[in-house]
Amino acid sequence: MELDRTSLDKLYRYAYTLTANQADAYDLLHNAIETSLNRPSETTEKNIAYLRAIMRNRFIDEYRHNQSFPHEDLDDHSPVSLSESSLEDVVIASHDLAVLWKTIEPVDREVLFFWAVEGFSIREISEKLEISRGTLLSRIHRLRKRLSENVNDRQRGQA
Amino acid sequence: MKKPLKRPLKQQLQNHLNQLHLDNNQFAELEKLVANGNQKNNKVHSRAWVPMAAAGMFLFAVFTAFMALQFSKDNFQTMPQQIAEEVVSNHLKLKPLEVKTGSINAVRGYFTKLDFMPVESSLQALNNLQLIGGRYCSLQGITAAQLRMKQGENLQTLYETEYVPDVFGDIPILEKGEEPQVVYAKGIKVKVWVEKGLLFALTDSPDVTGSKEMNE
Repeated sequence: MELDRTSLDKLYRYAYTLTANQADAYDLLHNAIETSLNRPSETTEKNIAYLRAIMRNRFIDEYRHNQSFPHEDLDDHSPVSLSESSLEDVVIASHDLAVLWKTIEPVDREVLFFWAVEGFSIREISEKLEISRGTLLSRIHRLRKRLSENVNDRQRGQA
Repeated sequence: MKKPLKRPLKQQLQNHLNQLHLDNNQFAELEKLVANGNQKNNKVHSRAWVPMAAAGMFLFAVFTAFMALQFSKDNFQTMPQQIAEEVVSNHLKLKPLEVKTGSINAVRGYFTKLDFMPVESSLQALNNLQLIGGRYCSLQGITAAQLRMKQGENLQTLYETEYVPDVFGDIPILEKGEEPQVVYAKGIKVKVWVEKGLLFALTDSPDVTGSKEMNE
């Protein structure tokens, strides 16, 4: 199995997206590599995809011990106003993002990671996370709403 | 107080996540983990071919032995000999006739599913034989008419089938003035020849009586 530093960093970021904690992210990645060594894939891309799947499954398993991993089915009949660009016009300060990052659900962090870092489209994200497009759009809509509310609350608090 | 600079969410997320890197110790540890795993896998893989190779060699040996047996059998037995073996084997079984008749026309009327028409041979040896019936059969996998003939108390078997040179090889052709090939199988004499585009095989067995036939 070949994994260069860039690939490992990418995997580490994904692990951090799930855990929102750097130490946990490293443990999760370490654990996943140990598991994947028994079944190495032919290409780096396949190895990365496989490692991501291992990390996600392991994280969900562990997360469910403490609290249920949010996987509820949302309304598939999304409002018309929802679109792929729902998050495009959201602006936020870096400090606010760092604080909010730890409070939002892991599945929402995954959506943001694939959207912002990997540059996936809504369709690709819904395929990746195995949730319907309508559900994903509803989730993004709620996420956007929550981001705005939290930022406003923080601003009011600071004032 | 200076207001914090707001940027698009996507850009902030990229900044937030892309600033994360494994530190050198973490990277070295993971690199070592991967290297050790690769080494272990290579060892397993390098040993994995041994049982596979052994199994492959065993199968190859079995296949070679089987082919050698087939090859030697085919080579030691000529095609006329193989025909004789098959004809005699069925001759001795004396399976029940499907059509009982002394008429070649009646026989032709019965064998409607053949790709050829049963005919009378001009071979002199058949002059003293009386047709008593027939049944569908096959010779070397090709559909044939198995005719039963009577010579006094003796029963003989005459096979007729389409002559396919690719299957039967060179067989004496009566029209060319060639004599039928005589081969023995299980102690019984068999004449094999080609006539009128058909392959014939006739037993010449003085020891087979009609007792079995009469009992059926």
